Amino acid sequence: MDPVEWGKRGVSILGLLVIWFVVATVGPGTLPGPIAVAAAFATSVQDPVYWDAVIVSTLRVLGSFTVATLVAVPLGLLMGWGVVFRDFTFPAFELLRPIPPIAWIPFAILVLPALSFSVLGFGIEVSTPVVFITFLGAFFPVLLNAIEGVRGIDGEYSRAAESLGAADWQIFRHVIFPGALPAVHRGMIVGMGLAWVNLVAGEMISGGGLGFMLWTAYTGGSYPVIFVGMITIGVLGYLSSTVVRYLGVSRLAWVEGSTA
Amino acid sequence: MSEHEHESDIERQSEDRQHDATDREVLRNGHNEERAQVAGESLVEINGLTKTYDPDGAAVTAVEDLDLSIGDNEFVTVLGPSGCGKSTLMECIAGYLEPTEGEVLVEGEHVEEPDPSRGVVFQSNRLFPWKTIGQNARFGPQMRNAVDDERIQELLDETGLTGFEDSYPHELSGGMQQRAELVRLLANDPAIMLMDEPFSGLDAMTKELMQEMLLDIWEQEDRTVLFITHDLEEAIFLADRVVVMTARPGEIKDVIDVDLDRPRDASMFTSEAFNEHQEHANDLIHDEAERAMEQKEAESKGA
Repeated sequence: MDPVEWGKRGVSILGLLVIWFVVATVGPGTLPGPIAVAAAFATSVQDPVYWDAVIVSTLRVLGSFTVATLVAVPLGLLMGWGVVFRDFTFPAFELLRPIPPIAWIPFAILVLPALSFSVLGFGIEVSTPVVFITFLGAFFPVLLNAIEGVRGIDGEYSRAAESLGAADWQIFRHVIFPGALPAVHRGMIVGMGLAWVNLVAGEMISGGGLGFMLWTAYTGGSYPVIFVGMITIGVLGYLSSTVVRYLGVSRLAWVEGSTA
Repeated sequence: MSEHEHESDIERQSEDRQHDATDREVLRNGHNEERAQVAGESLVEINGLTKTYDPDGAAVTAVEDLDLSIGDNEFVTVLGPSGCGKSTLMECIAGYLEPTEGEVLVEGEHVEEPDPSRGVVFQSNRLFPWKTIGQNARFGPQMRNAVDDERIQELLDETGLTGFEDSYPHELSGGMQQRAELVRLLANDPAIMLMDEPFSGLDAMTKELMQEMLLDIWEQEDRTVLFITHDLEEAIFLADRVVVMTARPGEIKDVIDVDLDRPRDASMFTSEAFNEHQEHANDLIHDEAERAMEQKEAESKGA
């Protein structure tokens, strides 16, 4: 990316800061300005509790997102490919999809057991309800985009592959999978964003991570820390979506007009 | 086997075409020895082929009671007005469509499904956009774990695509894409190449070059080609035989034996013999094109 592009992005962020500063200065005294929040940030980064929250939340998102992708991509490709399979499965998913993440939380807390295990001597505790809610956020966009991705592939490619001697599984591997990949990638970018959205909702109620930190700051009335939490989530969300975007672009050089 | 095929087969074998009957007999025998395994039979045999579509209760007969045989190494073009069932005929041979009546035999076997021995080139380019030119070229053999790199390289050289192995299709011109598709097909070593208006999307100059290249390859490789087109000049220029089809329901109106010398080049477009064939074909096709147009108009009024 050239300096001009970086410059544009800088202006975008800077603009946000200026608006914030102005609103905080002229607005109600309860809104902390950028300077107060920067000071709170300086304190937070020296606090291991903050970094614990960052690491817990990030790991939860990465884990949930990975599992969601691994489940949703094959499922979506098969649902897009096989009409019969789609007819048997799609309505069920469409029924579950509109249920908002928050509505899942009571169920998740009551029904899903917490998991604890140890890896290389480290005791790991997985808050299954939070991970499940986060999973749902990533799962549906990836699933739907994978289905649409397959349906958007011109059937002539499968016919060409067939006449060149490809068996069904080879058509799946060489036509369906790569052909749907651009759509899957779009779904993953959206899914990564929604994973963070759902994560924070889950953590606020179920505990742990940045969501819980935010909630504690709210109940404790420490306004700058609320903003520290919000900004951290924003930055991590942006970073992780960018990583997904770049990973995809490097694999999708064939897409016409694709840019990094 | 029909008389037409023998004649055209012989014409291909003979550089210096002779009309002398004795010479013909000699050539025919020579040819049969070379091709002992198919001696006395044609590569493709179509008997009483009828294909009816019935999408919404209103049955449309695309092809009706069509008989055609194509000899080994023969270059046959199918010329007809748009919507005359040319593509239907091709898809029945390719194995994409099942005949409503009649049968299609290739190398004596009933056609039931698509097979790599019957390679298809589609009207619009069907290279896999997510694979490079090299990957596309290797696709067919790769499916059988039988990639012959030397052969692929030879084909890429022949078609001027060397150096573009790592390019994606969208990075190439239309003519190069069409050549790459030809390479992908030939890498599979098909017994017959079924080509459905493959050059119709190209500009006139590129089209002419592609036609010459196709003939070059065909002459070097001893291939059998069924080439569908609505371009009269193209049909004559390429073919041993031009099969002229009627408007729907598609039947064979006539078969023109093209006795132009081979190898052919673009200068023949202005030769007297070419013009004679062209006039003949034009007479045949004119009424059918008119009928096809009337059908189309009637349909759009009804719709």
